[in-house]
Amino acid sequence: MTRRDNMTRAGTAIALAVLLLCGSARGLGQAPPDARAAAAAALARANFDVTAGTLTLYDRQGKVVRTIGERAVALWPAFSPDGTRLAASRRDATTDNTEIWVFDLSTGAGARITSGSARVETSPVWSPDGSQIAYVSDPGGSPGLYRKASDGTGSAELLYEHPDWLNLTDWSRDGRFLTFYDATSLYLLPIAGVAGEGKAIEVLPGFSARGGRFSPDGRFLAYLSTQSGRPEIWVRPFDPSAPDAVPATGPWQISDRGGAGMIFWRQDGRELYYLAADQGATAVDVRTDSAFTSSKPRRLFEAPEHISGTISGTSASRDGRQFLFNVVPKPRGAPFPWQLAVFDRQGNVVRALGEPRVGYVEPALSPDGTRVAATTYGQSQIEVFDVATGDRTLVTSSTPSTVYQGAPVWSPDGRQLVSFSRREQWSGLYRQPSDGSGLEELLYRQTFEICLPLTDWSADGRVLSFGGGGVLWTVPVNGEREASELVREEFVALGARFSPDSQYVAYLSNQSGRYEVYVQPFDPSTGAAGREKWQVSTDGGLGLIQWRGDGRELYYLARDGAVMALAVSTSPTFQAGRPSMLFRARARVGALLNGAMHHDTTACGELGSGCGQREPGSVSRNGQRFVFAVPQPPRESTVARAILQRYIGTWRQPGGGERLVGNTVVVTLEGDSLMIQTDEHTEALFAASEATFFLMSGTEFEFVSDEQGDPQYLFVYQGGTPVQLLREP
Amino acid sequence: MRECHGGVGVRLVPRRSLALAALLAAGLLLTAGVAQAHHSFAPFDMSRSVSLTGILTKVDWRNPHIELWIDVTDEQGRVEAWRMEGGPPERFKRRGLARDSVTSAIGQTVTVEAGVAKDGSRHGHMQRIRLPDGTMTPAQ
Repeated sequence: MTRRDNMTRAGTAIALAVLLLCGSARGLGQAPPDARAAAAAALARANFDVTAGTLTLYDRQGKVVRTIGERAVALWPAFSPDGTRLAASRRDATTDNTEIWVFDLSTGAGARITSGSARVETSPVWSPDGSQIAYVSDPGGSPGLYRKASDGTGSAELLYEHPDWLNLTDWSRDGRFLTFYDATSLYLLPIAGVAGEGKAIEVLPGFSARGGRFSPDGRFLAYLSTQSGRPEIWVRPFDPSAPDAVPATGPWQISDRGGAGMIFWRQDGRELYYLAADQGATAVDVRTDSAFTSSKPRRLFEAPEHISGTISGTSASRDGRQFLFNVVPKPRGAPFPWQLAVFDRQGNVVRALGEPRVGYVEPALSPDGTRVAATTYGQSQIEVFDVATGDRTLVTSSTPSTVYQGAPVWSPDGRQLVSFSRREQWSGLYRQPSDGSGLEELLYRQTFEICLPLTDWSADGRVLSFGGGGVLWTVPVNGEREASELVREEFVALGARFSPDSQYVAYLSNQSGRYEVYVQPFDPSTGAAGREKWQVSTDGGLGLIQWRGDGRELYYLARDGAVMALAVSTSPTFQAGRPSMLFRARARVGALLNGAMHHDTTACGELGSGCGQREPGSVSRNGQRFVFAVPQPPRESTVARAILQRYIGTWRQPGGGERLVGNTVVVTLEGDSLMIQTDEHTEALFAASEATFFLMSGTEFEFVSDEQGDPQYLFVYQGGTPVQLLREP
Repeated sequence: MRECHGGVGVRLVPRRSLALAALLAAGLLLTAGVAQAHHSFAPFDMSRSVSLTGILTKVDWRNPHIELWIDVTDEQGRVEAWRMEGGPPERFKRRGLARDSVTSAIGQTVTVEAGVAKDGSRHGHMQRIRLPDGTMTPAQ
C-alpha cells in the first residue's frame, strides 16, 4: 500500500489538471468498431491487473486466516452484525458496473444483491439487525443513498440525494442515523424516528473528515481528520437527540503517529481499531460509559503493504478478532528507492550515502563539502549525512501540522540550514542548526497556498532566494523580511543561485522556448536583478546550477544529463566561456533531470505535497564533488535493437488526452536506448524486459503486441491504473 | 505574492467521471504522479460566475498569473475599474494564445466570466474571456 490519505487533495489536483488538458479527440474515436472494442478490452484487462484484489482475513497477530471470494475489483467490505456475512462492492468485468455483493463467510459463496442497473452501487453498510443494507448508488448519474433487503429481495428505496459523490461508512446501532462523507465534510443522515429525517447534517465541515463510525452505545463518533494538520483518528461526542448540536467536550485525538483509516469499534465499545499512517493495524482501549477515555495506541500487526484503500479496502469484525484487507498487486510505475551518491569530476561514484530509500530528493552539499543535507520526501524530514563516515543525523522532523518540508539550503558557514515547510496555516522558511540541535526559527511566511521552494542563501549571508509560480524572489535573512521580485517575466524562471560575490544570479528560464541557464546582475541592497542578461548554456539546461567558490566556474546539468562546466568571471563585469561536459552521468542519473523538469514549469506543487523545484543534485564549492540522488530500479535487461525499433513512433491517448497531460508521447531510438519525447522533455527509458520499460521516476511503459509481434498499445503506469495509448498511423 | 497554480509536465491524470470519482474517493486510484496542486480560489466566490463587459485598459502578461484591468460602466454610467487574474502565461502559450492577441485589445471591449472577490472588491478570478474578435478562450 502506498499513502492514501491525500486523496482529497489529489482530487483537487485532478480537477486542476483536467483544466490543463488539451488535444483533440483522435484515435479510438476514428477507429473502426472492432478496433475500438479490442482496445477497450485490452484496457479493461490492464485495469483489472492493477486494481483487482483479494479480500483477505487476518487474525489479531497478522496471520492470514483465509481469503474470501475470487480476485476482483472489490471495495468497501463490511461484516454483518452477526459476523456470518460480508458485504462488499464489486466491479463487473463485463459491464464495468460496480455492484453490491454479499458473501457467506462460512462457505465463501457470494451473490449480487443489487440490480446492477446503475453504474455504481457501492459502500454498503448493514442495518443493526442485518436485514437491510444501505449503500451509495447513482442511477441516472445522480448520487444518493439507498437501502434494500440484505438478501437481495425487493426493490431499493431512495433515502437521500447528495450534490456530490459520497461514501457511506456506518449505520448507528439504534438504526436512526447513517453517516457518510464527501470530498470535504462528514455528515449524519437521520433516517428513522428523528426530526429532520432525510435531511443531511454536516457535522464536520472541512479538514477532510471521513470514515465516520458510531460507538456501539451511539454516544460517540470516530473519524479520520486533518484538523491537527495531518490525518489522525479522532473521537467526538454525538447526541442522537440533538445531532446538529456542537458538542460541549472533545474531540479527542486517538492516534499518536498519524491515522490512515480502518476505523472500527469493538461491539462492547471497549476497544477501537484503526490503520495507522505507518501501516500498523492498531488498537486503543476506550471507555464510553461516562466521559470518553482512551489508552495509548498499541500496534497489533503490520497491515499488508498494498491494499486498495485505507478506508475502502479495510474492515474489522465486531468482536475485534479478525481484520480484513483487500490486498492488491504492487502498484506499477511507483517510484523506485533512491540512493544518495557522491561523484567526482569524472563521474565516478566516490561514496554512497546511507541506504537506498524511496523519496530521497534535493541533496545539498555543505559549503565545506563534508556533509550532505537531503529531504526524505513523503516523510517531510531533512537528514544530514557525514560524507566521510556516512553517519546520518535527523535535522528536522515533521510536526503534526507539517504537510511538506524540504528544499534545504546551507548557511555560508555551514552551521545552519534553512528549509521550506508547508504547515496547517502557512508556508514558511525555517532556520535551524545543521547539527540537529536547538529549535527552529520561522524566518518568513506566506499563506498556505503560496509555494516557497528555497534555492540559495547568498555567500554574504544577507539574502535567501526562492521560486514560486515561475517567479524568483529574494528575502533578507535579517531585519524586515519582505520579499522582493528577483525575476518576474512571462517566462518561467527557476533555481536561482547567487555568485560568491553576491553580484550576479544564475537561473533557468524558458524564454527561448526551452530551458536555458541565464545570468543577471544582482543588487543585494534591493534584492532585485539588473537589466543585463546573459545566456550561458548552449543546448538547454535542467538544473544543478552552482558557482564554484572562487566564482570562476559555473555548473549546470544539460538536457541530456551531462554535467556541464564553464569558465566565468564576475569582475569587472560578467564574462562566460563556452560550456564543456565534465561527465555524462549514466542514463539513470541523467534522467534525474526529468525530476528537474518536472520540478516545474510553473514552479508549483507538481511533484507532491511540496512545491516543485526539486534540485536533482549539488556541487561542492571547490567543484570537485557532485551529489545526486540516483534511482535504483529493480532490474535492468538488454533488448535487441530490432525489437526496440518496433516501438518507434508517435503514441497518442485516444479520447482527447483525458489522462495524459500533453496527450502524446513520441518514442525514438538513440543508440540502444528507447527515448520518450513529450512536450516538455526527452528522457531515456531503461528496459526491464522486451516489452516493459521504465523512466527513472518509476513510471512504467508497457508495449502490448498482437500475435504477429506488432505493438498495438502502449500502457503507461504511474502507480495507478494505466493510460492506454495507440500508435498514430 | 500570489498563490501558485498547477503547471504542466508528463503526468497521468485520472478521468473525472462520476464512477471514477467514486473510486478516487475510495482511494482505489492513487495518482502517484499527480501531485496535489494547491490552487486556492479562497478569496473568490467561484460558485457564482459573473459576466463583465468593459474596456480593456491594461495587461500584465507575467507569472504567476496574467492580470487584466477592465473599465466596466454600470447602469448609472459610473466607470469601475476591475482587476481580473487568469492563468500563467505558459498555459495560454500552449493553447496558442499569444500575449499580443490580448495586449492588442487594449482600448477595446472585452467580456470576462469570473468568480468575484468575496470581500466585495473589484477583483475577479477569470474563467473565460471573449476578445474583440469574438474569440472565447479559457482564462485559466
